[in-house]
Amino acid sequence: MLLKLVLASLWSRRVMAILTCTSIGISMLVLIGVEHLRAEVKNNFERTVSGVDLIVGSRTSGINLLLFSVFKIGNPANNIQWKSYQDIVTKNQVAWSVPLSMGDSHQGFSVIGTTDDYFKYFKYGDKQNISFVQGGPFKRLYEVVLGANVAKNLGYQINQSLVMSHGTGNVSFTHHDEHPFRVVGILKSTGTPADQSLYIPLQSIDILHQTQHIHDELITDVPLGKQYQPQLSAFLLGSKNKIAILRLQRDINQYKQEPLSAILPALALRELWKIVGAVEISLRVISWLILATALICMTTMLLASMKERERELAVLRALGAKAHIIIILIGTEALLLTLLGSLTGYLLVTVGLLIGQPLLEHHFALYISPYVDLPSAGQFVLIAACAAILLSFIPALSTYKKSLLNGLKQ
Amino acid sequence: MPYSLVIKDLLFSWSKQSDFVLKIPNWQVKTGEKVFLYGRSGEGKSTLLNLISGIENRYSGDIRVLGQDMTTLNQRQKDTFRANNIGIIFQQFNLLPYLTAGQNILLAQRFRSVDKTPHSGQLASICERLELSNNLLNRKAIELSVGQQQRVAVARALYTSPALIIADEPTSALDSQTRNQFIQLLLDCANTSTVVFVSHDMSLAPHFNQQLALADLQQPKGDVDAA
Repeated sequence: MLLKLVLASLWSRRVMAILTCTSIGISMLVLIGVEHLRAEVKNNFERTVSGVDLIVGSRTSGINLLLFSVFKIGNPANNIQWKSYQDIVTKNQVAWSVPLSMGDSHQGFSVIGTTDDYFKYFKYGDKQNISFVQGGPFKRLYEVVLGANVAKNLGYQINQSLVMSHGTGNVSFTHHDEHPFRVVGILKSTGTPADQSLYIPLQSIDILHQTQHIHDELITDVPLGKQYQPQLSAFLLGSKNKIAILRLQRDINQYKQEPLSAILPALALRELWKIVGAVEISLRVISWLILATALICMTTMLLASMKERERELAVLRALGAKAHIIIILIGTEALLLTLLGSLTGYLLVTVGLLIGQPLLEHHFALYISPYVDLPSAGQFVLIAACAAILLSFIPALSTYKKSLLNGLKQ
Repeated sequence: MPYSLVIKDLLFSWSKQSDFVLKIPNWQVKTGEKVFLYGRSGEGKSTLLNLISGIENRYSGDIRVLGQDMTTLNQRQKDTFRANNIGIIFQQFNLLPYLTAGQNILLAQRFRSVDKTPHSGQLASICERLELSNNLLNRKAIELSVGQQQRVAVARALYTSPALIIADEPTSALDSQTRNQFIQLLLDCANTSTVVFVSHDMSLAPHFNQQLALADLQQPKGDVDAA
């Protein structure tokens, strides 16, 4: 019955109530949305690379190296000489190595030259191996393995032939039409930037870049074992024991023949996250402020309705209602508005994510789940609800006191 | 129970500094009587109403309503007592504007401790006597005319068959013809209930079988027990 009273009363002021709900909804949208994105992005971040002890590139900042080698954002400042690579990977602490050569693209997806060790050693998430949905690693020069999203977005099938281009743009001026590549494997989706790439043998990159090509000698079945001396963008290292990692890192950073940088992926990820984290904190502060504003707006609305409420209260008191009924009525109203607003915000976030998720995945290789984690969203709703009830005491208590003083005087 | 209302040595003032004092040495209202209480504005009519209905507590002396000593009840008990036994009709704004007339009437039962079930038969008979059609009952209170609103207020005050009905200037918003009809209707429907009708309009006094002035009640001497 009380709830019915509150609902009827709110309905009689529906324009104000809807506006209040909307403003609370929008602030909840920002609050829940920011928190969800932060959690998801962080999760994505931490999943991108795992089981790799060191990432090595030419001398640059750790973040830059991480960005281009793992996230495929930006470009390496310089390439690494094949000789330096050979020097380092033959050190006895090194257990395995995966060379990476970047800078080419296919239909806007990056093309990575590597060896089949990539599929063996590169790990993501909780040390999960990359696995194949179809086919397997490349074994010959003109074979390509597709990341999950590449195959999905471009609709490529196994055994299909495709043409690589030089440069990272979507539109490339130098098409290497002469070298069709055959799709031999499609990777399982990982939810990391690894899904956004095509993988070809390292030697093939070299061939792609030689305009004057040994066309005649070219047989599409050149085996991989043949020695080339390509330049590398970066390489991944695994060490034999964990203690050796730091020493190996120091050795690489002090490598005489060429200025190189070696980074610990986990540390670099954390460093990168710090940058994102600062933005996140300011966003969070802003969203709390928006919520505070919305709740204060609600209190203002409640205060504005108090004159009317005094007479309502007199009627209810005459019918035998206890004086504190006004506190319950106003509190329920505030709570209801906040909960409805929160629900609106939650739905807005979900709808927004459902719409935005494919775009984020396509453009930034970010897999953001459209389903908001309920406990974390619930936490905000709980805080907002408590604040709303506390704020509702401002109008409710003053009217309560006045009613005790004035009785049924209208 | 011969008396619905017994007041003895009642003394009320807003505060020690305030010069407004309501003082009633002795007043009794017999059960079933319809009393007209005349009072000018500012004489304390509303205060008296608050005192009788147990909303105002800053007083000394005795107030007995329907045999119940109000001084012995706490605030909660007074509220429940009011819901169970007293019907109140205001000057205006008796109804919650966002509820329908019918919902407003049923609200009378909401705060009662006894007999919370709606009596559709009783409701129908009251509404018939007060000429409240179903169509009217289903309309929002705010859409009704003042006269209709007052009739709905009477229906609500009578609906729970309270032993005591207190009316505070319920006719002030009505024109003189509607006013007389309204009072007659109220008194006809009240049956055995005691009615205390407070007003500043002496022309209404003839409808009642007992007439009093608040000023007379406040006299320290003299027999104000007109019964």
